Amino acid sequence: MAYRKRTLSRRIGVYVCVLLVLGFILSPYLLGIVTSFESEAELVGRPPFPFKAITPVLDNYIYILSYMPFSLAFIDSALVAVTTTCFVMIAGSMGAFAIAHLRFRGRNFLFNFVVVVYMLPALAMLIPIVVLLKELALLDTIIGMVFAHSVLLLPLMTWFLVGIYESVPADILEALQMDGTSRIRSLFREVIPLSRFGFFLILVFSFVTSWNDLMFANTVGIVSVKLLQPRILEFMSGARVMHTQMAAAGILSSLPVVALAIVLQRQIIAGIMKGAIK
Amino acid sequence: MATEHDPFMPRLKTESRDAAILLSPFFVFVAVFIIYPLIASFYFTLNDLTLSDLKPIFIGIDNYLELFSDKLFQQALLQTLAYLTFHTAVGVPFGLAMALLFNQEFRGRGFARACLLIPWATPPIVAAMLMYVLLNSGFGPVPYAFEIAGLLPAQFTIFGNPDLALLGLAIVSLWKSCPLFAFLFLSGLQNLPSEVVESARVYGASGVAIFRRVTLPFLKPVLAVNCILSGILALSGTQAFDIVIGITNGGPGYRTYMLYFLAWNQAFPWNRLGYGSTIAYVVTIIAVVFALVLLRIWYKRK
Repeated sequence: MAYRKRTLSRRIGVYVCVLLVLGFILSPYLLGIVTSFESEAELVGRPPFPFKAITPVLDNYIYILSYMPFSLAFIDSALVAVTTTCFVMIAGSMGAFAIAHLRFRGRNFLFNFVVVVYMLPALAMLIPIVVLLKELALLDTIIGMVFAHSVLLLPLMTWFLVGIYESVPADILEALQMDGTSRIRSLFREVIPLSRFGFFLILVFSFVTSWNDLMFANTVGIVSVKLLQPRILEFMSGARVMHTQMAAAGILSSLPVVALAIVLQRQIIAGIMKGAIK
Repeated sequence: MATEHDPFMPRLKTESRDAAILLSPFFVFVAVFIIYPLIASFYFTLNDLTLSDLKPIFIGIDNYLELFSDKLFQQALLQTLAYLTFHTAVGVPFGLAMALLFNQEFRGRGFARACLLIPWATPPIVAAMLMYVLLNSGFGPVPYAFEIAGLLPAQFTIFGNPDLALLGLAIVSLWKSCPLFAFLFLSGLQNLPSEVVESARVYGASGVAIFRRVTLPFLKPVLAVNCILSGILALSGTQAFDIVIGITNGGPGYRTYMLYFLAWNQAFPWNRLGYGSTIAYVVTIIAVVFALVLLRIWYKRK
């Protein structure tokens, strides 16, 4: 009897704690969503939202979606994130496959180099890259931004891909070799399809990292290329838009990545559980 | 001698040829955009350089000497260490507690675990904005709730208070980091052999004893990885840049400047690329020490 009582109170305790943690995680989001549907007058009028009812309006979304600097930034961010991800997945897969399955001189050095570069603070690379891009007249261009984001992503994603491709059995590659399939062909035909879950996880990770980046985007893009996150920063520090419009912009700019995380949660969780930390 | 008849030779030859082909895009990109810039940035630390004219003026080790007389650098260094310590000492145990909680059996566990992904996926600057809306003194509901409960004075501001602003930023960072730590701990807990826990329970070990004697030693490698990850995030991650620039922009009165943010400000807004690179190198040295520890733990496990 005592045992059952203990488990009951324990279960209640677990539910209370879970609710507290979920409250901590979700409350900024829920409040942000509410704010984006408030009018500015309602927002600044006391008391604040959960202590009074509000009348939802769509004005903030209508305004921010028709505000050109915002919608252009949205399109540019998507363009940069997709292009960077494609480049990183192709160049990274080829390099990672070679490191994982081929024997050549300098293989271990290359692997360690990739790890060390990943550990370096991004800023240590950003400063010289901005100088280099300026010399190449690529500063403040989309292509320069793609290069800058690739610097951020390529070493890290290659490192992850090495781990993923290593788990493809060497026998399969051996057999393909016997059949006369070239190694490069077997990478795209067999290795990537066999490790599609890991590949997909890294692809999502690349997209999210590029989309979310602020520091590189805010430094490489100056006037003509303003990506989404620098725009949000501008809304936060400047007086360009009202708070409620800023909230709408923030919700919209986190929508693609958060939606991606929620839709793919099963794969992401399975992938991370399987071997994020080896 | 017998190389021409050695059946393995042609294979090895094509192997390194294929490796060269496969690695060429990676290698060309890395050489131009990573190796060359890293060498150049070391040279920058020995020069005065502005982005406007890009003409380096050689000044030797003056940038390094300036670190010793730069009061803002020293303040930022102390603030960085305080931030890093708080982020790790509070964030990692909190992440562990979250993981242990989410490892229990309860209804909606899948949903709760999926929620852990939300802060990770949220753009850091949006995280800063959402937390600002929640916590600011003007229309934030949290200070208001404390105010009507009589716990805080009216119009209490955490981000505008010189003594509390850094703590405020650290709390915002924890929203972003803790779920990530919890995630890594959860993945470690998946491999915890349940027979061991069961037999400990059968022999009458208390929950606390099981945690201290079985779970915690088992999680030690993940714990180390999380501690170092926390260090890197607080030192040179988005937690040290996006959240600072978004909420306080270093203020009030330089009280939330940290090394990473200072280095960026020196390099770009203040247009001193050489000195900014020098501070970035100081951050690099701290990060490399972390990285070496991390690699040692990593390889020990394998």
